[in-house]
Amino acid sequence: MKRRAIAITLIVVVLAISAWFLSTRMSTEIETAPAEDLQDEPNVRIGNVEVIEYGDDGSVLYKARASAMEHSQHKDVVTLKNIDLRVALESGVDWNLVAAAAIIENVTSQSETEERQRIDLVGDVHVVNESDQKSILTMFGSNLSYYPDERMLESQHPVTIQSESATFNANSFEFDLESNEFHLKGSNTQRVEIEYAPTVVE
Amino acid sequence: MWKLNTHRLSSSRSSCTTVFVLLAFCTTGLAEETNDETLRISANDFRGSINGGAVVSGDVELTYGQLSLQADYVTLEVEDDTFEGIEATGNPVLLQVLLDTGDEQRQVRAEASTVVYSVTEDQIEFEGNAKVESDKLSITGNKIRIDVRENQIEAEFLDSDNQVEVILHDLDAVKTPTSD
Repeated sequence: MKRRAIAITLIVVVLAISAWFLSTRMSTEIETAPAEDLQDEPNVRIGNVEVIEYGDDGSVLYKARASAMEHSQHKDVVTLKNIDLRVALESGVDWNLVAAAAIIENVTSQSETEERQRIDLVGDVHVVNESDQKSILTMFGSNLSYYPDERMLESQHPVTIQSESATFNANSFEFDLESNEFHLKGSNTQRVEIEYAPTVVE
Repeated sequence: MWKLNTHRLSSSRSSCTTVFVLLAFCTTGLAEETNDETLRISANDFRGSINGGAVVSGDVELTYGQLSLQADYVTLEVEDDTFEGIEATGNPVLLQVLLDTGDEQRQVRAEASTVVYSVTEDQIEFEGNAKVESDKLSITGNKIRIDVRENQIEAEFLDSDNQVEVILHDLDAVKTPTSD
């Protein structure tokens, strides 16, 4: 009788410990999920900002105006909303890159293979002539990136570029804002396609 | 800004030049059936400038109005958003153009190592193993130029060992042939 009582007591104790262990695990998981969500939330949010980036030689690489700047410490990235990024060029003719947002990753957080400073532009990108505020090109595509040191706008993904008189489709492209030259590349599945309705000399 | 490297046909050179005024190509211009002035290009690679001009390469297919061509390499001359012409090179460049003879439209096929089409001068120039043919005649030479505005074809061989070869499928094709 005594042995039966000890056995029952042991079973109850084991069940109680198991129940306590499971309950603590579940509560930990429940509490962990919102904690990760919180990490995605920006730690800092500032409205109407102007960001000036300087090169190694002290020259201005770009000036960016944005409706808001958010910094997420977890990902160590800065997001600039409704960005108007003015690119200062040696030629004196400045271009503006206008996009819905720009994501600037801390250089130290970028992968080792990516040594160049990079600004990822979100949504359609308008290339605007600073002097007359006229949109020269509109680029539709994803993964458009601007490299401030080289003044290069690039995408390694399919892109459509629309100008006043022409439409370009390509598998990837590079646009050198300093020289105003662009290079469109095709692939086996996506050739470079151009439709150009020019003015014709009579 | 790049420019077309157009080599003009010179009558002072010791060459055999034959000029035809051809009913076959008696044109009032490129046929304007569709009136489509859009330049369409498909290629593997494109390098251009916002300031004008571009080079396309790799299995280039180009259409402009009634003209179509296939080439390895095409240079587009554009200045101030004005399309002035193209220079195409290939092995060979294949070109087709529909010319308006007034009474009818005539398909002209041509091939050459280099083709220069000047929109401003309304001329198409073929150089290097050039051959131009329609259903009424076939012309082979080192250089052949179609002057669309003047309704003339001019053909020449630069070396005396070769001669311009003209094959007429229809005598009505030639109105007043001259030779020098």
